[in-house]
Amino acid sequence: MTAPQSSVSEQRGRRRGTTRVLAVLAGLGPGLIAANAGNDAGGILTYASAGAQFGYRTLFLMVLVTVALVVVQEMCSRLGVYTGEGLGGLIREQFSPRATFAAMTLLLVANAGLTVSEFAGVGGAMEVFGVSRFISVPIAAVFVWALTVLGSYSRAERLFMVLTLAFLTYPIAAFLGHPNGHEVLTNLVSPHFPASHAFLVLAVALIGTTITPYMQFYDASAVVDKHITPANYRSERIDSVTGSIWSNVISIFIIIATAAAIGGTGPLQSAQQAAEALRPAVGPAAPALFAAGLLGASLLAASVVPLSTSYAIADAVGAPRSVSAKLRQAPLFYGIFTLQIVVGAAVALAPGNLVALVVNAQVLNGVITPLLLTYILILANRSTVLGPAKNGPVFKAVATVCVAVVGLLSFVVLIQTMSGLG
Amino acid sequence: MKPLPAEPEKSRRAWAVSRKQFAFNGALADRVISVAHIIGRPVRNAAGTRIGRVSDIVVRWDAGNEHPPVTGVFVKVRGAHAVVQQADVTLSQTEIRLRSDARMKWRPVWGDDDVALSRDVLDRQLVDTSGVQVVRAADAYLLNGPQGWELAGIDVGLLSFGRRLATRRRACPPPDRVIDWAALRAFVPRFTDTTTAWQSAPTTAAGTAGSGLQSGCAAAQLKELRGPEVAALLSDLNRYQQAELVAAAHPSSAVEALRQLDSDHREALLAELDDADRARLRAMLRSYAR
Repeated sequence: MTAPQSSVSEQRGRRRGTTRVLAVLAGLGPGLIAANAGNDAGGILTYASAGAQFGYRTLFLMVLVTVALVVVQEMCSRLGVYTGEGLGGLIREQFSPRATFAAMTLLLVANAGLTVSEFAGVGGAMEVFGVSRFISVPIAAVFVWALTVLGSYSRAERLFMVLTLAFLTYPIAAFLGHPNGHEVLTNLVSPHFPASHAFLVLAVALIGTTITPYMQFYDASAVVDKHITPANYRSERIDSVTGSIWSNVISIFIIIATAAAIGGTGPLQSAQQAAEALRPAVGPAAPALFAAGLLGASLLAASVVPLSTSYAIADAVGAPRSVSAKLRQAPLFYGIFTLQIVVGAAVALAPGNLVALVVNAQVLNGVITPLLLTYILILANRSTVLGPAKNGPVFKAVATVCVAVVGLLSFVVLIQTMSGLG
Repeated sequence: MKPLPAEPEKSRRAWAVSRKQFAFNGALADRVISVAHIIGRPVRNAAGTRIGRVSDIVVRWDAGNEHPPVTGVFVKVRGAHAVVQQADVTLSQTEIRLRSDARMKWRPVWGDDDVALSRDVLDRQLVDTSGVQVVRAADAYLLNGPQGWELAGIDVGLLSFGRRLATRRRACPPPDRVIDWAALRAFVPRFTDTTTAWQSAPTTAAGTAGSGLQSGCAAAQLKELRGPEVAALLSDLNRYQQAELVAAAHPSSAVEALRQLDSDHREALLAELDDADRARLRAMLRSYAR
């Protein structure tokens, strides 16, 4: 049976449109993709929570986090380009076995937390459509595992990426939501840190979700996969810097849009509440659009994050690592991947507030981030690793300050939490 | 163009046999030293007084030897480094003892064929030509053979890596997954920090950017690899190691592997080769395309 002519040309036109979108996505540099990977389920809900709880008061912090992200992502790109190797292998070669084990354990814990938040994102998104998370999360876990292990992931990945484009409506919503322009500008340029434990915890969550360890490992591997050489590093550096800035501009718009819509109402309680920020831009379609974006971002990261953890750890211990390998050929690789999916989905089913679970996972990331950043800083400072491309004195000082400040913040939150001061 | 060597499978089987033979048992245990577990052990003078600790074990690369002989021990003495010739020491798993007339060289000169095992081999990627795989060295074993101590093989097992997380063993731990060194090709790091090792090392010495090292036997084995095998190995190596492998493989296999790569990858890899190799492989790629 042949389709009517108009329908065929319509389909072709649609396919051309989709192809164009995919071509644009494919043309994005690793730096841009890596930085935008931070805008996953955890990121979206944490930024929305920041806007809902503290209004515009986290904006200056986001400017500082952007500077730190630029510095960190540039170092990771440089490590990938000049060594031609991922961070997992580099850490194994440059540090003692114990230090390698510690780094890989931290990465595993951080990414397991991230996987939990991705499945919580799936649950939250499907609850908007009226589907219980006790149904959606197990199905998503099996779906993601099967897609990745059975090797048909690449097509689904494109669909997930297209769904995440829904979040590009945030900048429009931020303008249409009539935010207080003076307040936004003041909070963007002048330091403003409320002295409260809740603000400090959220600050660490914002750092954890923006400068995610997973992104650093992903970025270094992505430049290796794209075969970027030192000869064309200048364009990669531009991509890395612009990608980091662009990603955080979107994050800042999410905070502004949410602050304008529901600012000051306290911590975010549900994904539906976060969707309210999109209402000025898309009206009653806001919950559905937000849920679609959240679902795409969550499913995308729910497979990529465990996969990148498995690659890094298998690389570090020298075990076989490939999605094209059979299960028994790469037991460690698939074992770590499966473990993360199972634990991630199981924890996401725990009773309680999903948004709080997601934000707590980002706090965990925030505490672990400075520890892993220390490894990256040491690697980028070493002439044995980068030769003449190692950190210069100025960059070294800036990077050290960034890592130290992030570390100090995390340390204070950790101490406050452990001593019950919060 | 040289034809592919005949019957590569046969010689590959031979390497597999030698690998099995290397799986040493109790009888060999006192003649084997684990490099990972000797690093940091005390170095004592003839009177038994501790004078420093083992910093590294140095072997000399020699194309004529399947198993590189140990030539010296790198010793750290109160923050300074020195080398003691192998003839001047008695090696054991728990300590290294200097002979009474041992001489310590405080400003050693790095030879082109010298390889420091802890720095250049442990934890690094190597190509196993017999199993056609890329492995990471979790441990290296020295065997006291008829010619003295030599690098016998490496352990790539997860268990062997795990043992290094615990305290150092007083006896050589049982091997996990051992590969005969003769079947391996190693790559030295691109940039060597000469200040932490051989302080007076010349900049042109082995270990500087892009240099590599290889066993004569493993190099011959590399020539026997077929195109798809070279392509499979490339996927697990970094760009500089890939270039070394392509340069060492048989040209027709290298070209076959290069043809399987996407153009960006191929160009990035070719850019790392020296001019002569690059021109030769480009010419072959062009002739294949026609």
